[in-house]
Amino acid sequence: MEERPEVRMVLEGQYEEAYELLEDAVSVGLTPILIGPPGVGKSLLARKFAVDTRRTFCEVFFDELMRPGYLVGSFDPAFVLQKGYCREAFEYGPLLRAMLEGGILLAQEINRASEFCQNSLLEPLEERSYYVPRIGRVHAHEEFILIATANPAELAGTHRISEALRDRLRVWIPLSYPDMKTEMKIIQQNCEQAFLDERILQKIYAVIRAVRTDADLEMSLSVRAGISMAQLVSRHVAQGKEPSSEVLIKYASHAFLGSSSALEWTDNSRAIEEIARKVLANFD
Amino acid sequence: MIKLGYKENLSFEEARWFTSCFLIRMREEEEVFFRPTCRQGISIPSILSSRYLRNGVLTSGDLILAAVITSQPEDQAIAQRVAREILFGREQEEAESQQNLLKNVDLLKNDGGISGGSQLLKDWDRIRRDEEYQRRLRRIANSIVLRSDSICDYTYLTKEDSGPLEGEKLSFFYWGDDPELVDFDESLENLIIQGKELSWARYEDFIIRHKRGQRKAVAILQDISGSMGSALRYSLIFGAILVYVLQKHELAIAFFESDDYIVKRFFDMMPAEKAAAAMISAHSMLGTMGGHALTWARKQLSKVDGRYHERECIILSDLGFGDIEEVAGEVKLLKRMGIRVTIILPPAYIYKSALKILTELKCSFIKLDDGGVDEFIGEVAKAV
Repeated sequence: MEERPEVRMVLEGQYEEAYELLEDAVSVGLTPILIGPPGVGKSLLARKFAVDTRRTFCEVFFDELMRPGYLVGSFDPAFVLQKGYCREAFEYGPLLRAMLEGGILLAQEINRASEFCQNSLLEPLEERSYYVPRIGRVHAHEEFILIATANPAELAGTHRISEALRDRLRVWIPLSYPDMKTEMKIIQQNCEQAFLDERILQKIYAVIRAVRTDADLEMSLSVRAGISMAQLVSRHVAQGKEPSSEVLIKYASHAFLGSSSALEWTDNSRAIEEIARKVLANFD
Repeated sequence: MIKLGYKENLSFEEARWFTSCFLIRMREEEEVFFRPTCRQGISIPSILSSRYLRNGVLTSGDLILAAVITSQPEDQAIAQRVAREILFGREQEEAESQQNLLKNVDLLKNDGGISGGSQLLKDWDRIRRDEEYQRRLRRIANSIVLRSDSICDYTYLTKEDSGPLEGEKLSFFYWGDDPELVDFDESLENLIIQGKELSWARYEDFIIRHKRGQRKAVAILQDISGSMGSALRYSLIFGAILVYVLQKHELAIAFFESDDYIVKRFFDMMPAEKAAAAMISAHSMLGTMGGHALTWARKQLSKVDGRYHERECIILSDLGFGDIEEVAGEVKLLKRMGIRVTIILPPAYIYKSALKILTELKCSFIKLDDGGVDEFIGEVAKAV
């Protein structure tokens, strides 16, 4: 469990509403889950909330290979061989540490966890305690809270959240792509190399939006991808160079390509360039 | 029904009435995926009390918000509609939805209207959620899994002379493993080789013995050629059931006739519902050429790493292959790679010459007219 530095974030529009809902849910002891496509700021919002509460927190990224033991803790085999199964031989995992210290456990990408692993969260969420064999029952501090994040089902990994766990995740806070004003603010905040004027920001946003909504491309372009493009442009401007349309097109192609599957890279690279060229022609 | 209408200052009594109405109405809604539980019933007033403490008042907007965010994402649109209906009355909601419907008519016209396939999918969804069908589906699923879950691979880790261990594998101790699984002979030998005292030993110096993982990588190839005829419907329904049966394993799915149509590659993110819907909405096409599809499946399966303890290729076909030599060649290659090949035969004319060749190549066969399976599929087919 560690203290983290303050998290900078544009807390406006949907993020402000989501932050308020997180506060409301936690204040009445309901487990919240932030749900939305990749790169819309779920993790950042959860982290900001956790840091702002000034409570200790730890973050766990779930995947299908994670086992309950990682969350709960482990007996040190060397210690067990010497002294047998005792409390000293047990190293607490992030879940039990958060429970004992009344901290926040950020369960990132919870829908990627196997059902086996998901089930280990049921008891702490329902009974606010956990039974560890040979150690006994560990009771949660009254301030212990779990905050989860997940991608929507259509973007999910191989596992889905079990119905039992779904029922214990009580407040579902959806996040989607932010509105123009908020996204432009986010981009501006993340471009520290050089100040990007309103017109360049509008051009960048127009390209992002066009690629995001293009029906043929089917790319779920994240806010993060937009920031990457803007950071490349910002670096270009910081070197005293002109951010021409060709420069924007080049950076859009490089920054957005990661959002498509590897098999479609060649085609998508060309398609992104075409879309960007068409959008920027309207500005000129 | 009493309507609250839009209010800026609702009482807790009204909020309690709303919660109760909302739960009842949501449980009555046919299209709801997850019926509201008692936990949701407790959560709505909790959230409302929090909203009240924040804003000093309770508004109709708070009631709708609480109803929506405590509902599962799949049901949030319905939750919003139901909450609005409770507050503002059904008539107003219906008038609004009628307007939306009119707006959408042009779109539907452009799309060529709702097809028969959409109705089939809707009916299939209803069947899938029927408890009796679910129970029987689970039973058949279990029998299929038992029939196909046969092989456990071999592995050895530290000593060449320890030989393969059937159904078990050795691996280094990992955080969270049970010390009861530690293989002391192997662990002590590992420590002695490294010249380490016990007090210096780290987690990974210990070696545990445990069962191999149970995930499989399965490539499903569905024949949609014209020769399948009316049996195609049975085959597709069985294919959709297979998707659910195997949804915890890694799946790749393709249709084939003279061409291949890839539905899902390994590691593509696709929910089981979408894959099953793709299966069930396929149409019969031209002649049967399986060689290309099997080559695709082989390439897919060769990419799968050691985390998947078994690799399998399932073909749903009447075996009317126009390229049986290529198919046989691919099956031989698959078998050489240690990949199980299972062929699911529909209740239709089966091409005997191809059956003979593939039987000689030691493919496993499941016939859809086997007792129990055919009855179930027949019933589902009739119902949809």
